Amino acid sequence: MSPPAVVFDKVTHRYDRKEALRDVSFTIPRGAVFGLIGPNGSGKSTTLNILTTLLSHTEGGVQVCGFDVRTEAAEVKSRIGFAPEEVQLYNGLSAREFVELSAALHHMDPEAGARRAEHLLAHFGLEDRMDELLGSYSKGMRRKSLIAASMVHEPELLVLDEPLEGLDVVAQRIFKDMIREHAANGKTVIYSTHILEVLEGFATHVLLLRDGQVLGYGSVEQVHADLGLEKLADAFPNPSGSRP
Amino acid sequence: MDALIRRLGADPRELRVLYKALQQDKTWRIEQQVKNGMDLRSLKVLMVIPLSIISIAVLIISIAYRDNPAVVALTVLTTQLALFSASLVFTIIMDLLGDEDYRVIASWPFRPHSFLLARMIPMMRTALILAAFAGGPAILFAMGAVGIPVITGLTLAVVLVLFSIALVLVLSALASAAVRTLGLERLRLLIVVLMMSPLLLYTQLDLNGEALKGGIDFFAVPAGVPSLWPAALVALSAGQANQVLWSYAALGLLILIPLPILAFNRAARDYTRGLPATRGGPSKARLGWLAVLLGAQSKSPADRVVAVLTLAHIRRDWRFRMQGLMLPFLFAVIALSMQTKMGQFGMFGDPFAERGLWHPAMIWMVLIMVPPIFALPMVSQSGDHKASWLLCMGRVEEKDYRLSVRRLFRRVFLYPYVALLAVFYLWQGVPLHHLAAHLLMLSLLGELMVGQIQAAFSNQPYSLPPQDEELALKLIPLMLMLEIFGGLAAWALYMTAYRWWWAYLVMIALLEWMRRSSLNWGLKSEETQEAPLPVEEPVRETTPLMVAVREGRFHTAKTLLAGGADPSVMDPDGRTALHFARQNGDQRLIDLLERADAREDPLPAEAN
Repeated sequence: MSPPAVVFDKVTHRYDRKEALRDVSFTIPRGAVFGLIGPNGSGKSTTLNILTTLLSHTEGGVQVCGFDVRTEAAEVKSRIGFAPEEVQLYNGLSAREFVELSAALHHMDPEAGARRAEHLLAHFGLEDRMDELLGSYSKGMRRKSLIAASMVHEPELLVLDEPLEGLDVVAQRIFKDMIREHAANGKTVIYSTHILEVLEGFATHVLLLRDGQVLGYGSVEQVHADLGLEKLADAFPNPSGSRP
Repeated sequence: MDALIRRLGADPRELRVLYKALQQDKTWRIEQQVKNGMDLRSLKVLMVIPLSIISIAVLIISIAYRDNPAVVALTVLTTQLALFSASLVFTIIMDLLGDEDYRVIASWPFRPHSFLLARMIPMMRTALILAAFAGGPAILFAMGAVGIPVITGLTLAVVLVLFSIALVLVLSALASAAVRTLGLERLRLLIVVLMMSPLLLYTQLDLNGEALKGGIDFFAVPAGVPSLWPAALVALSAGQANQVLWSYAALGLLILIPLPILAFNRAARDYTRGLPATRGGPSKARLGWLAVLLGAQSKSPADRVVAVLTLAHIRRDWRFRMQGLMLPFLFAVIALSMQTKMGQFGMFGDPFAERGLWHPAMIWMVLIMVPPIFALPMVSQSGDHKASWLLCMGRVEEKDYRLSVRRLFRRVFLYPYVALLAVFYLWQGVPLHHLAAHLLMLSLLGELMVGQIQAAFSNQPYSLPPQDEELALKLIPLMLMLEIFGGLAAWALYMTAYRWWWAYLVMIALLEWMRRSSLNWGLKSEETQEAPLPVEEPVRETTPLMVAVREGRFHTAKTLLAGGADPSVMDPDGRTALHFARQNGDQRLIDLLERADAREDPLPAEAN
């Protein structure tokens, strides 16, 4: 039996003396679409940074696909696709080159990488413009290229931070279909967002964070029941504490 | 006229708008145009004209007065000094007006030393580098040629350095006083006026080294042109035959004139993309020769990554592109000189020729060709170039990546160069120990630079964000020391090579040993790091300004900003006050924060 996609075991992380995560534990099963939600400063970004090996946690244990993020970082990285919130691209590359570069970084066969890059970009409606430089792209097109780069190697764990930002309605629908298809193939998706409504009817599991601690965790129905919520948005009633 | 300007690669519409705005004293209009995608690069394109005229004039004077080396020396050095001084003025003002540095100036009353350290030291370093590598040897050889003792030349070199430092200090003080008395708006206008001045246009060729942030802007200093002058000076002052002079001048012109124009033309097309006058999409031009060279390196993923990113930078950045284009030109020059039987002795008549060694100016020329490759480890980590996440998500480890940069440098540049050199030396009958010494020196200088960059940045994987002033201040003196050491070592090498070639070898061996030691130290310090990419972030907090903006309190926000609140501070989620203003759609606050230079990652002008 294959290990869970992600295991967080009593994880604590401090920035100097400030505690960003405190004793956080959760498990993400394979094939889940896992929503990570919480207001500003709740620890979402820290959580994502830890499991993508960008950040070394202070205490506790973290495993991704059975590999320790600290001691087996290369194995973890090879199984992850990450689309951060901030779109950071090489403006001197075309979208096709950029996605192919991502494929090369993941040791994909060049021809297979090229085919997959073309398929993903075409799926996002960029078939006519994939040879133009990323520097000439609009924000939405850059976001699409970033997501395509993160998915090109068909990662076991796809980590998306605010993926819908900048996407138009059509692209959002295409994107959601792609995520569902990805999860249906037994892959896992972690989806961090402040738009709680997006996760209703889409995520299979959610983790609610507040002040670095777990507020609720489990399947969407279970969290509804545990916290007595009609919808996830009710978990954070104070608008000044959440992202508008 | 428009057609001519467009032919040069500039955008007439942009220039016209800027000129009109200047006439009407409407600074805001310039700023508006800059926001809309006109970022004054057309002016840079036009700059190639005065620069070329100056270069040609110097060459003509040099040739006309070839029998009088003193006149030649004076002309070249005066021009270089004038350009250098002008560049200092311009760089300082540009720096003062830059977003990051303006924050430093704004904080001057509270942190008096930050301004001096942050701005003075890089300037002093540039002055020293220029004096040590370009001006110093030129002076020494010029003096030697006209019979003035070496010690006098050395004294002059020291005076030049001291003069440069003093100049920097005085100009910086004046410029900072101007910022504080005239205000930012007027100075922005002033800078556009200054840009119209031919001499100052030169500095836009990049003496401020934007592409190589982090304190190694001397890589960008030569820009391919002034560095030729010391070589020209030596050839001329040594009284070479006419044929050699003309051949050299022709070769110099070959590089001086068409290359910058070609590079600027293409770059301008990219930079002004989206403007009505130049619409048509990005340049599709590919650097085929480089693709071939780099493609041959694609045996490992790390090599492929380096190759692709090199191409990306060269394609995007005209400085990289120009230097990239000049690399094969170097080989062309060497090949041509061999064909015309000029050889090293004809090209560079100097004391080195007696020993069968190449003139330092040639080595300097070589060194300026490789910065694109040297700079990659840093550039790829830079937050400005935005690919750090890609490297960290792929399986290529940072260390492998860095090693592959060196491998690329050796395979693409060093090995062909060594092979060519060996053949040439054997053909000329130069003793092999000279070849060994030459190669050691090249290896030393090249690897010293790579090691220096890597050591300096090994603890800062994401480049130097402006808020990390403390770290920058730690690194800058370190790099300064390294560069002073490098300059002195280079001078010592020149001097020992003149009379005692064996001392030259000893010196190189010593420096090589030191280099290896420092390199091992650098690699060890990397290995001891827990993670290759940032493990700690600066403390982030929610500020009163963010609260005011989030709640739409315009006047409170304005008061806070006037009181010195920093709009670039990020909250634990990495959001600035401007993010909140945008989320609320509050235009007044957005404008206020944008004016206050709030930190927001800029996206290029959107194409659709």
